Amino acid sequence: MWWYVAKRLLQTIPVIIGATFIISLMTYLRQIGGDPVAGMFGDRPVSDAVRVQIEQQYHFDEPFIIQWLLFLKGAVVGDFGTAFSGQPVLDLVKRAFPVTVTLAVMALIFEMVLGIIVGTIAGLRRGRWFDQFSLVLSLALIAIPIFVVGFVLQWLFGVEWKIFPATVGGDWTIEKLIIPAIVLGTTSFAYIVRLTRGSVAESLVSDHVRTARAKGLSNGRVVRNHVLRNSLVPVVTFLGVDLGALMAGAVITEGIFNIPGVGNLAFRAIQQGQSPTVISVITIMVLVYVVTSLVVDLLYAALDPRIRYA
Amino acid sequence: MPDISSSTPLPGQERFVASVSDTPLREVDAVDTSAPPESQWKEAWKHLRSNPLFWVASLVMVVLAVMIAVPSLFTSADPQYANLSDSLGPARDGHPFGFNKQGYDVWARTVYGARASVTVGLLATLIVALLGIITGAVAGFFGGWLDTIVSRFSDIVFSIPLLLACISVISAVNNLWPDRGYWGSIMVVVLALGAFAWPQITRQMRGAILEVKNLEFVDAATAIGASRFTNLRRHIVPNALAPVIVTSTISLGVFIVSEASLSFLGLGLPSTVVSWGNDISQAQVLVRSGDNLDVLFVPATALAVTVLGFILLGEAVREAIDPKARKS
Repeated sequence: MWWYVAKRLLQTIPVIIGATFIISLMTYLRQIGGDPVAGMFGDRPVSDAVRVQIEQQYHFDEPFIIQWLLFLKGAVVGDFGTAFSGQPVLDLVKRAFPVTVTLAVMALIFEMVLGIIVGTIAGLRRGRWFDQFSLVLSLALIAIPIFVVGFVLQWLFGVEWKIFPATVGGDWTIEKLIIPAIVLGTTSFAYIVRLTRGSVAESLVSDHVRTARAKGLSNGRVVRNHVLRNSLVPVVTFLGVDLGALMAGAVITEGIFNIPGVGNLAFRAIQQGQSPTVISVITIMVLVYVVTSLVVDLLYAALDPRIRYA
Repeated sequence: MPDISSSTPLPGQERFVASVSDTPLREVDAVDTSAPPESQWKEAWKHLRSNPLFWVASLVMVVLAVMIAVPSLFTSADPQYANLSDSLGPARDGHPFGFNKQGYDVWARTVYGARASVTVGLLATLIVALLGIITGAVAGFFGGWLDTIVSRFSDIVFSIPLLLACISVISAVNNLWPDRGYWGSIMVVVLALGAFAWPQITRQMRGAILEVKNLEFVDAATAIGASRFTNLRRHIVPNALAPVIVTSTISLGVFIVSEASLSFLGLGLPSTVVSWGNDISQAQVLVRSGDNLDVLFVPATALAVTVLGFILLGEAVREAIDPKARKS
């Protein structure tokens, strides 16, 4: 198993390096299009000496390949450059990261708990009204853009009923993040309902469940120990990969609720052409995705003994 | 001693044998073995026809197609005409859902917005499907170093979050090519989505090709003298295409939502283009204040129904071509 882990870890290195290459290329295109130095100063004129100094500091004067290699060189020793505000990018990320991770984990818990419950009930009572209802609900939630759900919940809870604050702002608390987390998790919730329903329904008619019933086990025990345990394997793999997707999808949710997270940081940095911040933040998201999919692969093998490490 | 052969068996020894008409055997018996074999697609069409969801989805598609071709059938108002004195005005004759903040007719903008939103979805799907099918087929069929290159490259692109990648590309293009008109704006969004969304199809196509490649009918074709390329074109790709078509149909809906998300962030289509994404994102300010909610709900519903239509179509096709999905 350790050999498999080592092999998979080695395989991720070219993926991460390749991803930084593509992201660097995009930020380089942004530099060609709009002068980042002028953008830094807004309306004020920039003297040539200052311009040269800034261009050297951010390596804007270097060709693309050199800029990319310099980023990689810095990243290896943990130096991700400085943002235009003069703060190290690492500090900005360290401040924004906890919010987004908290938000994504809350969304994950919401979609997991509710999604598995609704999906299981629907799967156990296939064809009844609850099943039909959950099917329609999940399809509707997949079809409605996440920001429409966001506006409506923000208006209902924040403006009409005033139960939760409409926006989060700088001093975030877990309580303030409840509604944004639900918004962020809606689409995945719908997928989990469908996934759980399908696999519960499938394992209800499988041989091992029939055997369990034949042994005379109570219905509750059959469902808990024999149906659920087996049908949750695909759900667990989905949840694992979803953590990365939630963090990336947080751009929209963080925009609606004004949350100072990674998505917001990335979005602003992209718009202002702040190459070091953009490359660093997106690389971190790539890293999260790569690590979670590795963990999922390992979990998968642990949950399903039929799968062996190759 | 009791008579074992009597008609009343001992408790616990009852036997129940179902009559043939109650077992699945009836269906097996009903199959007419002398009938000529049907092609995969003909059989799928038979199943599709009997699925009510398929007809619901088709209805959505037809209405949408008419709406895109002749929008004036649905509304007599001009989507580009605004009168500020109508701002946020309620519904009145000829304007069933009232007016938005700038005084545009909400329904007219929704009807005309179908064109841009669906065009983005269709073109992006076309590009993603083409790229994915070609790269996936090449990787799966030829294997070796071609497979390694394609798979590693698709791993890299797949690892970058789609929305963030699109934001980066579009904000770069915004500086390089600021005034790009109607079609220019649509093409930039389409190409940005296309450039980063193909790996999913590649992976699926590669997997399907690997599965089909070693089936007997391919060997049979080789035996009667089909070349490697003929095999790929005539036998392997058509048989591996089914799951890819399903995913593409569903992802069409996803791309329409993505365009709306990008427009919400101010990076999709410019506000001069009438699109659902633009109208929905402009309605955000109103939602916070809470008046004339139709400004949000009408374009959002149109978008949701369209996306749902494509999802249902994909699901119906999946059920029709995959016998395993049919039984549930």
